[in-house]
Amino acid sequence: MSHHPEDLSHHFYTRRDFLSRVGMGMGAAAFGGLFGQSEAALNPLASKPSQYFGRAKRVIHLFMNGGPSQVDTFDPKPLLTKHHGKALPMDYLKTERKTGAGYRSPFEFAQHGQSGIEISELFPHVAKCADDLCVIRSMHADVPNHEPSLLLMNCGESRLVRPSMGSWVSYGLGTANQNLPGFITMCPGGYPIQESQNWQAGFLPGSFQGTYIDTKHKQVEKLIENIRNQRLDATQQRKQLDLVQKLNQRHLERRQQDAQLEARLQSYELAYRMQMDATDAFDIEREPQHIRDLYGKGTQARQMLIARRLVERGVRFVQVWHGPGQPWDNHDDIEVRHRKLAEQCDQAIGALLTDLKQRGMLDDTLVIWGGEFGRTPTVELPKPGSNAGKINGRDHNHYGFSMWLAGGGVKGGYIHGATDDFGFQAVEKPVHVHDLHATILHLLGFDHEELTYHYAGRDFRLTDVHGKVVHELIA
Amino acid sequence: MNPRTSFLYVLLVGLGLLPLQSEDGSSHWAFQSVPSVKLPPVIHDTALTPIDALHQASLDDQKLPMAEEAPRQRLARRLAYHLHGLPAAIDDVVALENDPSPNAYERHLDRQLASPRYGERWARHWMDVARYADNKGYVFQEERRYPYAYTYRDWLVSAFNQDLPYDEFIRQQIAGDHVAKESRDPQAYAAMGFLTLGRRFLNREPDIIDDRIDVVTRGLLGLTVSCARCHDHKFDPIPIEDYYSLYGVFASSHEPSDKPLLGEPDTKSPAYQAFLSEEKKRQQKIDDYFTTRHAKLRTEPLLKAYFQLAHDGRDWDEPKIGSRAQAEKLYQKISLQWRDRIVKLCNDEDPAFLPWKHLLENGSLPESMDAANPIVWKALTAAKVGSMNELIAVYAKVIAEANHDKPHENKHRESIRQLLVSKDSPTGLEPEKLYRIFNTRDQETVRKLRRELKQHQAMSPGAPPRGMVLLDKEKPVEPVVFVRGNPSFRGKQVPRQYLSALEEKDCQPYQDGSGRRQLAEDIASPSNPLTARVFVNRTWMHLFGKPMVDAPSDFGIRTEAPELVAVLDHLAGDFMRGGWSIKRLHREILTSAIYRQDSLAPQGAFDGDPENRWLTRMNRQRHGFEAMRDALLAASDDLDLKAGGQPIDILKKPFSQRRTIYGFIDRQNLPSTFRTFDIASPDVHTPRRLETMVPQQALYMMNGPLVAQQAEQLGQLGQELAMQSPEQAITALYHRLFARTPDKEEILIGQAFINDWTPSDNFPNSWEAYAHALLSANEFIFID
Repeated sequence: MSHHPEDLSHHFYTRRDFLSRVGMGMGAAAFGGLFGQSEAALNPLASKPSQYFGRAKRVIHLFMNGGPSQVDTFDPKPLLTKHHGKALPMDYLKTERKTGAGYRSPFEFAQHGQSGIEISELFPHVAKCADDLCVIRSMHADVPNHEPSLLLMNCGESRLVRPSMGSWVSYGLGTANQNLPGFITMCPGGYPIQESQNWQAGFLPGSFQGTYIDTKHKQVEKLIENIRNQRLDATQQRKQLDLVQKLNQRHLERRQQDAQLEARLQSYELAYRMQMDATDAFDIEREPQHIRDLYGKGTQARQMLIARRLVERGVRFVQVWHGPGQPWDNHDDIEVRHRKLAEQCDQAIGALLTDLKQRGMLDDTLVIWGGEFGRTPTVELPKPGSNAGKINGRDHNHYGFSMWLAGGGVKGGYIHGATDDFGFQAVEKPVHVHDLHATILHLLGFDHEELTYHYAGRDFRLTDVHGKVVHELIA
Repeated sequence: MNPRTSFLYVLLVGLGLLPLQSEDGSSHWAFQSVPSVKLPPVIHDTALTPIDALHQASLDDQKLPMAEEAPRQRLARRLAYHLHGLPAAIDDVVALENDPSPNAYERHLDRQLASPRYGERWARHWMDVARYADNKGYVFQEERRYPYAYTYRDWLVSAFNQDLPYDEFIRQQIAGDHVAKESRDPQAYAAMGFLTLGRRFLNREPDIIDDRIDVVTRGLLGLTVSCARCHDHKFDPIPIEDYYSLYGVFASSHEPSDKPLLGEPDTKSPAYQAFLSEEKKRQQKIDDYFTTRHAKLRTEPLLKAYFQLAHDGRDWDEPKIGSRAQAEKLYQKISLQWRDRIVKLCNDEDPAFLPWKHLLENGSLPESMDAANPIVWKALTAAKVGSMNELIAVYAKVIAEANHDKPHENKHRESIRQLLVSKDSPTGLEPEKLYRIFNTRDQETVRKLRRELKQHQAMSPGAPPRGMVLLDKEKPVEPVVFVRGNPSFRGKQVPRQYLSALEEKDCQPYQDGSGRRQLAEDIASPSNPLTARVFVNRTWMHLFGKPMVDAPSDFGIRTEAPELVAVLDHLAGDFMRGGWSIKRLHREILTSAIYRQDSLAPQGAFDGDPENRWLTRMNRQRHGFEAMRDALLAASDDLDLKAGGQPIDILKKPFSQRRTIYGFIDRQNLPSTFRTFDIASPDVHTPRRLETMVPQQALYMMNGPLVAQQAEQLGQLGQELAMQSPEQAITALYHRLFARTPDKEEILIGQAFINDWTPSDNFPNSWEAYAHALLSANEFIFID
């Protein structure tokens, strides 16, 4: 080809034009390459390299909303058993409600794997993967209330409107499959407390917002908006699309090259392919029987399996919520209810880890498990207008709680930090939520201080002015 | 390229080789008063207006060409889009094309400016500035909806339609309460939604006020004052003290729960009557819920249960009393209060409780007890009481019998009544105060009833419109600096006043109430260097698809003067001199040769001005969500032009045919359709909408039910017309969707498609497939 158009650069938005279009400022431009390619100009979700080499390429965040109790799951406290029914010999920290005597865990703990990590009987399947787990026993947050703690865990700020972690990650890395959203959040039967703010894009472009999927449904057209045409079959639709493109081509020829016109033309082709790909991603019937058996039955099994299919297809960030409202918030009947909740999800989570591992995906997929905070080792006392008045549950506790990470370059079979003798407060190597965020971004190949977005006069970031990478968590 | 945003500049600053510009701002272009711009001599006969002279002088300077005037068909589509957010009607296009008079364009423009559709288009632009939504965002349990947000939206529509001068537009939005009182026009109350319809942040005052400071300063002044909440602004001359000076203004204002009416309701209208009677019914339900439970507390059986628990639990701890109360379906708080109250009455040797004390301490009652309340004593002896349980039964009966609305004449009886009604009695509280006594289930019921009342007030079609006002507090707050933004670290006191950097003279503390009125005047003043420039730049952005100043809400030190700063300054000065008339400003721009340029670039324009910073051509623009949806409805003549009123759900089937501006905006869970099409975030002030191109947008066009419905209607029309002639059908569709007549080849393409289409049971009408394709085409959605 000897003929060149006059100047190819006209075909696309210039860099500056684009930066202003997606509202980015100098900070982001300076760290370079975020939206290097021209196609990125109109599609902010185009895949992008991380700032440095990152061990993790994608994230699955299993959100046990409501706040699972650490002393009943991953943080055994023999002394608490000894002080059962007695006032704990310590100054009680202020939680949301009044709590009384020490309350021993009704669940047995045992050591698992080569590493001998202690896990309670609630999670027998997860325990089989003990050597892959990096258990943080010294998490802490800011306040003992759901709303601010959910926002802190998801968006790094408990009060104001800020982008969620999944949005930041999609902003930083784009997504590897243009036929699916980059950030998907699943919750069966409704929203958690604080609703879609948990996966908000805030001031980032709207396409970075989590796409909510109600995994109560099984049919794909109920899962993704407009994913199927109810009346046209694929051949008819193709024919129609050919006409659209013919008209667009003529329209374009009568004008000069214009990136917007071309991008819209392309977006129809993408959308056409997306109809097939998305349908496929959510259809777990296509899994062989032995894989479906591995995950088990029920909603949790279905959504964990969908999560795997999504990350396998290049979705960058998948968040899986246990259920609507705050299922793990057991102010009463903690024994019965925690047991039931764990029964619902344990096998599926264990299967997810096993399955990712056998596909070689666990190395670069970061799995995060935890709630917005933990629970008190002391028993909650009845109070008008709050719980059912049974004295067999635990209050919220943000002073110390457990989370675990697996895959994505974290140290397996490792326990980090500790709470005090009773599990009330993180005392050894405390890890704040901001530190966790900094570490997650680090694993993904970003310096959390440099993944910024210029907005309303200043550069914002997930960790605001806080956060330290916890290097001990990294293999 | 602007040097200060260039990569090299950033690099050099980053390496410490160049200082970051950080003066006190005294020389920053946007902080200088708007100069009166000297117009250059007109050289080209293409110049039509003063800004053309300025524009063309810059082009000559840069040796840049400019585009030809666009054909009238394009101009007509452009004006309809910019002024109404609607597709041009083919008849209007043809009329303009065929009008031979020299001022055909101007007359066309004036007609468009006079249409009520104009206010709807420009109100929606301002709603982006005002972070408009119809609800509060996350709330714990109260009613989430803002019942009167729509009155602000309707006020905006009417303000633009009536060409309310921009200074007055500002005044009413910040101090509409004052304006309404002075002018006796209650409509101005509605304007204050600008301040009040933000997120509620779980009712935390500092965050609510921060949101208001942000919308006022970024929205009207193009200053990021919120950056000074925790420390002095990093770049701009805004010390933290200034932030708290403004904080004081808003902290000195309050939101009344009874919002003022925007005029007398039409008391005769049946809708209003129905509203009132239903409102009364729902209020009664709430009142009844409390009064019946309250009355029950003073009845014999309940008093007996509480007394029994008070006696049994005289030495118990709270949780134990709580458990028993729960088991017996008593209120825990009332149980504790009766327990403590009876202990106290015994200790104080209250005549009514002397026998109780005696029996408790001695196991039996004496023959007589002169100090005891005779009524109580008589009842006890009549019942031959020998045990505490028997005694309690008598007390419950005697005390319940003394319950009465009015005092008894008999003083002994009255003192027994006082045991129930006095302020320190457990049952002496007002009925509605029972709320905090209630258990979870009762509280939930009350909340439900209250929500039902609020919902009625919010949604009843007969509910009279009210304004979401702020009013000055009786006593203004003397603000202090919150150190590092933390309200619990109170720093030095600051006066309520305007921003120090923008005040020419020394800042004078505000004296009049909260100071909001004075703040409004300071912003709406011709000597304010920012107000007019910021507004002109926003207007320019909507008309040209790009603002002159890239950051429309940040005119601070880091923002360089735009290439066409002379045009901006001239328009800003002229705007103020012309009485802040927005329509006049529009006319000034829309009659210019700059605006009338074609979007086809002339030779050399791409090379010399790749980003079109100098406006060597018109920018091609794509419909935003509102214009797109309105155009879809207009295509089949279905658009319902009813204006104003309570918001409607536009995403639910059967689809509303109202204009998109009247759709309900749910701030908490913004529907994905809105997000997909980059509608402004209702969380915070939006300087400029994003314009993304994601496949979800295409999916909406390909599979979305509204598009399908419109295609079906257009398909039917096509099919009917095609019985006469297919050519006529294709032409009619082109007229409706593209406001032009198809050429021969386009007709052939259309006919070929129709002939080639194999109808299926699911999809019998090939014209529908054709219409659907036209709706999906670029020409439908782009404006040249």
